[in-house]
Amino acid sequence: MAHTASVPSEKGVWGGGVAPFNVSYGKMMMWFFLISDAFTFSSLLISYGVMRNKAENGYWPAPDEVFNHFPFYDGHIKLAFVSLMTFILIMSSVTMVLAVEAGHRFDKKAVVKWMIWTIIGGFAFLGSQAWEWYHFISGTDAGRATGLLLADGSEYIVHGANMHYNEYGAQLFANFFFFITGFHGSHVFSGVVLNIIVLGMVLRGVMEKRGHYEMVEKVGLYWHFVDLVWVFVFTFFYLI
Amino acid sequence: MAGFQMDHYHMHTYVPGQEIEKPKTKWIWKVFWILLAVTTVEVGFAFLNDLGGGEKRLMSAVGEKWFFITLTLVKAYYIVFSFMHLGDEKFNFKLTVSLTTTFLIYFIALMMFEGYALRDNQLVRPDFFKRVYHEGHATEGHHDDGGGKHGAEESHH
Repeated sequence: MAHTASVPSEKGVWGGGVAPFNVSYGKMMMWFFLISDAFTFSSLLISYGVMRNKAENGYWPAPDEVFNHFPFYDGHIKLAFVSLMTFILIMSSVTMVLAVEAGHRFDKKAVVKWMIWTIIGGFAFLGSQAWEWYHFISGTDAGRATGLLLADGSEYIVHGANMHYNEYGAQLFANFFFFITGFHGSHVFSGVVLNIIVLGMVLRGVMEKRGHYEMVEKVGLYWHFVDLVWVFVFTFFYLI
Repeated sequence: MAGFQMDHYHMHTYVPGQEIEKPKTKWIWKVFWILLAVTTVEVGFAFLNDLGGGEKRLMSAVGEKWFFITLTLVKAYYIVFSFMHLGDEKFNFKLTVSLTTTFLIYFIALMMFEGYALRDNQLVRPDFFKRVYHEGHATEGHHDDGGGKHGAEESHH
């Protein structure tokens, strides 16, 4: 069996043996994957920051003026919706830690409960992001006049943003927005999928057969990382 | 059963029918309130700094960026060391993870300094490229040797 004769080396952390650094193989590989993923996200956010600082003042759209919508409210409040999204993700991170903590105590019922809340939080975040994208893509009613004339003599007015034009200003802003939040959103989505798979394993009693809930811990690491990235996206994209 | 006997936080092997301990979640909620408070400070500051319509600012635009970046790194510390339990790992493992990511602090500094340098540097002005590549030679007003050379090359074709 896989879990017999696991005597960790007490001689030193470099000795190898069952668990170097006292971290199991799977958990360490998850950490190393997350470090590499952190560099991917950092390169995206830092290149965004460079282009943003490079742009002349006024030419770059102010993110808090672009993303100022809130559901069921006609007026504009800047940052409110993104703050809500941040809160949702921090909250789902908390429920994930609670699930990991329950796993340490072999409290299966609590693990299931907190994992379900985490999955709900993940879907709530994805829904919010879809809403945010919808508003960015469809733009304002007024739009922005381009000064170009159409065949019928009327002026060509741009509404919203996509990869080819951006009502709010610099084209790069739209491209970075779609790429960075899209890349993060795909991470959230795969995190939700992994959570659902692990929840299924918990429900089937796989963890008790293995003797530990380490799988919950590993998927938790991934989930916290997704939250961590959002903390940086929130700062670099919406605050700065 | 031998099982994984790791340090105080890590797994102990499950014994069927064992009693379930009471949850210890106080530290989780403490970290949650810290994260929420820091986020509130960030958002609140973003509002306050813009109240005067950009004229009366509490902090300059650059200072504000450093302020937000610092607070974000504080949040990152709490997420990684508390929620991801890096604080409970062996010292050498903490080093393995955190030393690698110190490069990012250097990258953030580059982003700020190089980004502004690119903005203020005359060489990257669009009219510079227009002058060199569209007109085929460097004309009046250029004040760098690189541009001159490019212009000379162009005119040979």
